[in-house]
Amino acid sequence: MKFMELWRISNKVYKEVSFQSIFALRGGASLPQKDKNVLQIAKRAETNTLISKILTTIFIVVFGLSVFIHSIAGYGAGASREFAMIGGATAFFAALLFLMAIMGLQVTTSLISSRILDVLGHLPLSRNEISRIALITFIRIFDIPLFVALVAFPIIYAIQSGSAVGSFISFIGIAVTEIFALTFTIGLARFFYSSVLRGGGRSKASTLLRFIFLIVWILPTLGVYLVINLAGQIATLFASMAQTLQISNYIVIIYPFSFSLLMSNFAFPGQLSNLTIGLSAAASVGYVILGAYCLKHIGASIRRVFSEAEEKAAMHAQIMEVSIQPSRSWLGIIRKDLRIASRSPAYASLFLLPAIQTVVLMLSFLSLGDISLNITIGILFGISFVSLMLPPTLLAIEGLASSYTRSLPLRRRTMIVAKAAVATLTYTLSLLILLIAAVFLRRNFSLILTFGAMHIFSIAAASMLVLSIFVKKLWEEGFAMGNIYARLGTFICILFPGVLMALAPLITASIVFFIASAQVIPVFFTVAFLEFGIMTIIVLRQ
Amino acid sequence: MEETAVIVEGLTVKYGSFVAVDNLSFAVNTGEIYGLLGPNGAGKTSTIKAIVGVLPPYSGKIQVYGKSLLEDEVAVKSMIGYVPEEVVLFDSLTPREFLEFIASVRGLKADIVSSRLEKLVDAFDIKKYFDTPIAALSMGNKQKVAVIAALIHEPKLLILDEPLVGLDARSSKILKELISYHAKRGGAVIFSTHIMEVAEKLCTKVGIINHGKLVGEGTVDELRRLVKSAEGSLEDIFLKVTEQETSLNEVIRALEEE
Ligand SMILES: Nc1ncnc2c1ncn2[C@@H]1O[C@H](COP(=O)(O)OP(=O)(O)O)[C@@H](O)[C@H]1O
Ligand SMILES: [Mg+2]
Repeated sequence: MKFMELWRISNKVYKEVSFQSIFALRGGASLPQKDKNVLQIAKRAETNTLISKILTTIFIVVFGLSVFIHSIAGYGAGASREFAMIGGATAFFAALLFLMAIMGLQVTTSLISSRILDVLGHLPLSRNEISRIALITFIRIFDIPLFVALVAFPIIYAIQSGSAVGSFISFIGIAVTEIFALTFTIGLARFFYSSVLRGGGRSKASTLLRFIFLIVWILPTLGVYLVINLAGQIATLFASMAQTLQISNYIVIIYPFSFSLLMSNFAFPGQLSNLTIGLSAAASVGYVILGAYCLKHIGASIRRVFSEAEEKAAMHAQIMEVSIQPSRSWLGIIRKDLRIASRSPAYASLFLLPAIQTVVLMLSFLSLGDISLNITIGILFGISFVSLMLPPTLLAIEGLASSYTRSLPLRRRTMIVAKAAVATLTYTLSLLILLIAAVFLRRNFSLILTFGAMHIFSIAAASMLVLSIFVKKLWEEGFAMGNIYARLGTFICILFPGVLMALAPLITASIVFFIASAQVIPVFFTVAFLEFGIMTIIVLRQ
Repeated sequence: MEETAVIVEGLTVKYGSFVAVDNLSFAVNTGEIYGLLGPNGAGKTSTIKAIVGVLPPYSGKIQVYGKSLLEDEVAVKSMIGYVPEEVVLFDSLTPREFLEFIASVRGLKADIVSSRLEKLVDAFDIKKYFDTPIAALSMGNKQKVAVIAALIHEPKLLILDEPLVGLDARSSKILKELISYHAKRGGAVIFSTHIMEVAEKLCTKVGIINHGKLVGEGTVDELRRLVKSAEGSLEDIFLKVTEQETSLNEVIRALEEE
């Protein structure tokens, strides 16, 4: 079949996926009834997807490039310019990999739950053609961000370094990075879906297995996240290692150092040994070949996730008893949410952000002296922001079966309290781990302890606020959140008041600090507690 | 003692400007099995969704045992057991985990629920799938899980939307028995179907619905009397009152001429 024909079919598939990721009809969302006709709604889904793409693109460009430029500009802090560029480019590649993978997981989930490839399977198309359609669709979901990253970075690099060859290498490097991110995403999705079908159940072994899957997912994410956060330090570290131990010869074999080293070499020629350059060139060629191989197989993998998801779980364990252990209703909701989140890459990824954040902060303690008020407030802001990603994630889970669960005798407040509790608890846990780390590293932890403890009220209030808005939408409009990537616009709008609420005590405290520093603690507490009180009253009345 | 279980008065459901249910009224008493019978797209599912409260805005009055969803949502939903037409449950949960969630939300006690569950699971023969993710179950088995979830709290009102479509012969017989048993014990049942024999055998009262309007209501006998020319079978009555008879004959003739 000709490419144009595949393209045309993928067009339909793409539209269906973007429609379904906005209106999760399979999850039982009903179409908004205010709208005049369905065509208009379909149009709106496309606009929505476009907005998400543009937002993602802006995010990637700003985030990725700021990491890159920041670490290039920050050379001199112990690193020479060529090593600073290696660190910067590496950090950019890593950032891109991370962002693409996170978004890829969201999209894969809705691609799979849309079951659209099932439909194609019944048409007179070969497996190969279906794989190619899957691949084209998958790439189209990301087209703008993929394309912009592919173009913007080489241009900036070319302007900065004046090297056309280097710019081309960066182009290749980005393409390979994007392919790796998509491959990683699909691989992980397959892992999860097959484990869901095989797993489940109560046995200790299957629980353990799932836990291991989660760790498998954490590790690469964590690694990438570390690289982004510590780009500056890594560049320095890399420079000093390279200069003292000659280790660079081996590091350049590792992706993405191979590419960034070549780029650095073309920007600042004559600084590196021929052996190093040769090795990294050879490694880069190897990664390009690997990338091409991955690209060839992504489509087939997507198709296989579908067919595997369709296959019946082969083994049925001997089931001895059918008893169940009901709990309080809010606890039942929490248990269900945690179970579902641990089995879906899209939810698990968002769930694990607070954990990752905590680890990163812990590591940055290593390089910090005392934990001052400024740093404490910064830390609290960071963790609270990430914790506030949880309520919408938890609510998205509710959307999965909303056509059914809305018939259950659930009060809005039960749902809000259950999910706010999980978000708040995650925040508290992150703080607790930080506290333990601070004690262990013999840092002054009193500020984290006092402000962190008071800020818990504020986070609880912010979670309740965000959840109240989402639950209202869920209840009254039958809104079932599709994937977060597709609804980025809506998502950010709803999250915004929550972030403001979490920030309010932090900002007030900073202002009060300049006017009357002795009053910081009472003021902080009053603001946080007031927020909590008001939100509690509002929620309990629902 | 006959108590009114459900009153639907002037129910109108619109999707945009399209009227799916048009000023529909009917009532169901305790001990009654009320069959909503109608062709595809008649508005059966929309009506049922409005009663169980999964359909956001509609106009008209719906009362379940004297209570309205608008006044006391939780009380009304607690009295209902609902099996949706398209069963969408949490795919990555196992039936055990799913039912645990349902039982928690409904506030059931472990000892009471477990013995009840044992019987239902045996009756529908899904014990061996009890720890298999719902995603991996066949349509019929998913439906059985939904049926169990609807019965687990012994609801006063049982509402089933085309419940027999995906079930095998054994399970469908058991479900029919359960429905009859439920009504005999003083519960009320509403179920929708487009299959005449089911309505004819099972229902104590039938409401025929077409284009969102009730076009005939009564026991099968009453309907028979109502439509004199029909030769006894509910199918004929049905085609008569939904005015599909004449066009149907034309369609059949056209097909035969091929
Ligand atoms: N979410 C919806 N949006 C727009 N139209 C709908 C929606 N759901 C149902 N309809 C329309 O409403 C009518 C009644 O549908 P439904 O209640 O499902 O009928 P039945 O269950 O009797 O087959 C149909 O014409 C159907 O196309
Ligand atoms: Mg229907």
